[in-house]
Order: sequence, then C-alpha cells, then structure tokens
Amino acid sequence: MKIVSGYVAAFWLELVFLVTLLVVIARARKGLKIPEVYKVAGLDHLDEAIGRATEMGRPVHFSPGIGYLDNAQTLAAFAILSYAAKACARYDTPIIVTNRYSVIYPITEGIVRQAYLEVGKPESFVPDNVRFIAEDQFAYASGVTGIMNRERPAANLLIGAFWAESLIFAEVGNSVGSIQISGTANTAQIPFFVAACDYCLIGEELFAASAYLSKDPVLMGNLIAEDWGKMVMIAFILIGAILQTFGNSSFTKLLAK
Amino acid sequence: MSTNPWVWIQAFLTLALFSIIFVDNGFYKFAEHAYVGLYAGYTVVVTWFSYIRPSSQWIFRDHKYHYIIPIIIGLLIYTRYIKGWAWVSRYNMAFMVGVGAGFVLARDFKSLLLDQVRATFKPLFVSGSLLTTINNIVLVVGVVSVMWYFLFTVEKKGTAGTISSIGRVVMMVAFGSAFGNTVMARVSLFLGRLQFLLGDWLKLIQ
Repeated sequence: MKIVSGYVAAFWLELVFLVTLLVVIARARKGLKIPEVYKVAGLDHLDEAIGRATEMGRPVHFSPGIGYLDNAQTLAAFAILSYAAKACARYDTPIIVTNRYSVIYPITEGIVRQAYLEVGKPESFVPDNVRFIAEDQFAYASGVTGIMNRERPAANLLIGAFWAESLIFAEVGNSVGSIQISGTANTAQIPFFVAACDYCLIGEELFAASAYLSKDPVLMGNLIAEDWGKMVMIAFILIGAILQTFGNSSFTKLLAK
Repeated sequence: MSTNPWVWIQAFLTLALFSIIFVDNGFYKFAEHAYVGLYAGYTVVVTWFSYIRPSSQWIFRDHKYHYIIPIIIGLLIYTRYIKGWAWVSRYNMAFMVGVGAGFVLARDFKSLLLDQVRATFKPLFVSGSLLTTINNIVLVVGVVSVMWYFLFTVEKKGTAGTISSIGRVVMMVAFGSAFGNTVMARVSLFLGRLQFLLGDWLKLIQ
C-alpha cells in the first residue's frame, strides 16, 4: 500500500491527531484528569435568552442552519439544540425548530423529544413545533421568515452552517424584537451575525460550545485534542516563517510531501 | 408595460415578497406559501425521477439485487412511526452521521488545514520590499493570533490575553471588510430586481 503523493504528511499528522484524540477521549471517559476547558463567552447568554422568552410568554426559535449531515457545524448544532430544548422544557417555553433537510428533521425532532423526556415532561413535547420547511435554500429562508414574523419568538437561536440567508434571519429576528444568539463557522457569514445579533459564537466557538454544554467525553476529548493540534500548527507556522526568512524551504517541502 | 403574463406574475411575487419590509400581510403569506409549496412539489418529482424510479428499475428490471441493501437502510427511518420499533431508525441516522463525519475528516484535513498552514510560511523580512515584509508580518501575526484566540484550554490572561485580543481585532477587521463586500453584492441583487420591475415590467427604463 502506498500513500498518494502530496498526502504523506497529511496522513501521518492525521494519524497522530487521531491517536491523541482517542487517548484524550479514553481518559475523559474514565474520569481521569484532562485539561480544563474555559467557558465560551456567548454561552452565558443562552439561558438569559430562554429566560427572557419564558418571562415574555413567547416561544424560542432554533434553526440548525442549512448544512447537511456531512457538515460538522450541523452536528455541533445538535448538542446546543439539546441544551436549549432541555432549558425550554424545564420552563415550559415552546421551542420552534425549523429544518431545511428532511433527513435532519427527524434528528432534531428526536433531540427535542429526548430533551422533554429527560426533564420529566414528555407530555409537554409538541411535535408540530419541530418543522420541516423546504430543501431549497430560499424557500426555507422564506418559510422561516414567515414563522418568525407570525410567532414572534422572544429568543432566536441561529446555530449551525448558514449561507446567504444568515442576514435575512438575523434582520427579521431583530425586527420582531428577539434576543439573538448566533453561531456559525462559515467565515463569510460571521460578519452578519456579529453585526445583527446580540451574541455570536464565532467559528470554532460553536464546536467548543457544543462540547462544553453537553459535557460529553467524546466532544470534550475532541476539543482538547483539537486545541493541542492548533498549538502544533501555531508552532509549525512560526518555525516555517522563521525558516523561510532565512531562505530555508525544507519544512515547507516536507509538509507538501 | 409588459403584456407578458409571466412577467406580471414575477412582478407580483417580487412585490409581495418585498412587502414584508413594511408589515406581515396576506400577499407575503401567499408568496411565501406558494414558494415553499412549489418547492415541496418539485422535490417530490425530483426524488421520484432521480432516486426512487431508477433504483427500483435497477432492482426489478436490471436484477441488481444488491441495491436493495441501501433501500432497506433508508426504509428503516420509517420505523420511528411504529411504536416499540422507533429505536431502529437511530441506526439509519447513526450510519449517515458516521459517513458524513468520516467523509469530512478525510476531505478537509489536507485542503482546509495543512495547505492553509503551509501557505502561511512567509519570510518575515524580504530584502528590498518593505511592503511585502509588512504584508507577511501582518499575515503571520494575524493567523497566529487568531488561532490563539480559538484555544479553549488556555486561560486568556496576561500575555495570552493580549495575543487573544490581537486575534479578535484581526478578525473584526476581516469581518468588516467581508461585511462591506457582501452588502455591495446584495445591493447589486436589489438593483437587479429594480431593473426587472422598472424595465421588463413597467418599461420605464431600457
């Protein structure tokens, strides 16, 4: 077996990363000591937003974005949805979940149902509040906009992968007076969320938030291993830049192998 | 004014959708539901002709019986409607989430991480070109400080906090520039609609 040229360094680094990941996850599962993860700033406001909706007697709206299941942001959104749904269930605040994909719809429905079950209020779960809208991007955007205008959620949680509809959602949320918490790793859309939402989980904070909220050992281990990976990459960049300054490109070539 | 009924329908739907800017109203609701409904119908047709019909032909006409395996996995999703069997649908989801995650891992590690890191290996001093030197320093410092900002196991105090703050500023500058760029693109989309209304529909402009 031969590794394809151009993927040798990627293969070995990925292998080291995976081994590190498995070790950290195993330690987290066994309850052994793992590095502390610091809380992401925007997370404190998640409870505040749901509390506000409860006080106002208005629903919470959650969109897991328009990414498919192969998008890590969509998977991260599930953990945050679970947390938000549990908080809503605890306070008897309706949570409306709008889905773009028919495949994602039963997953989010399952998450919300499970959340109500876990807080001991399965009878309060309203299946009609988890909705499939349309698979076309702007048909979905149009449907969500209409729902937000009619049901006027007090809190608007836009967490996941968003594209051109991001500003449409954030603007409509703003116009109906929602407190808005957003989170996406799509760099082209973060500016809109930063400008139009009250709180924004920027890029990887989305994944950190999902790990922090779920306390799931797999996600925590992933986050810690990723952090170490980033530290290695920072070291690579500094070493590479310094070597390049002295005209040595051996490290660049090594990583291109 | 245009005499083409399709142009009138387009103009009506455009104005109906824009009307939400002022207040939620019946015209907007009609346009919204028509859009969502039309797309739902379109999806049914596409699903039938692109997935269900061809796969049944592969099995029954071409006798490729192995295609029945993914169909069975797909059908498992409907077990969620059978009391006592709903848990089976989780296997279907687990399979899809697993395949999705594995696909992303294999695809993105090189192109979205390693190649990007390698592209940041810039000389911090370029003889005879002050601008390139500054550009390279900004690039390296910017990338490192932004990556530092996203370290979640490091407490952002003291020097670590300062590097993180630099990363935040770098991101905000980038976001500001991206925001302006996209607003310009959206204005151009809006102008396109205005051109349609004033030109194709009302014939007020050429």
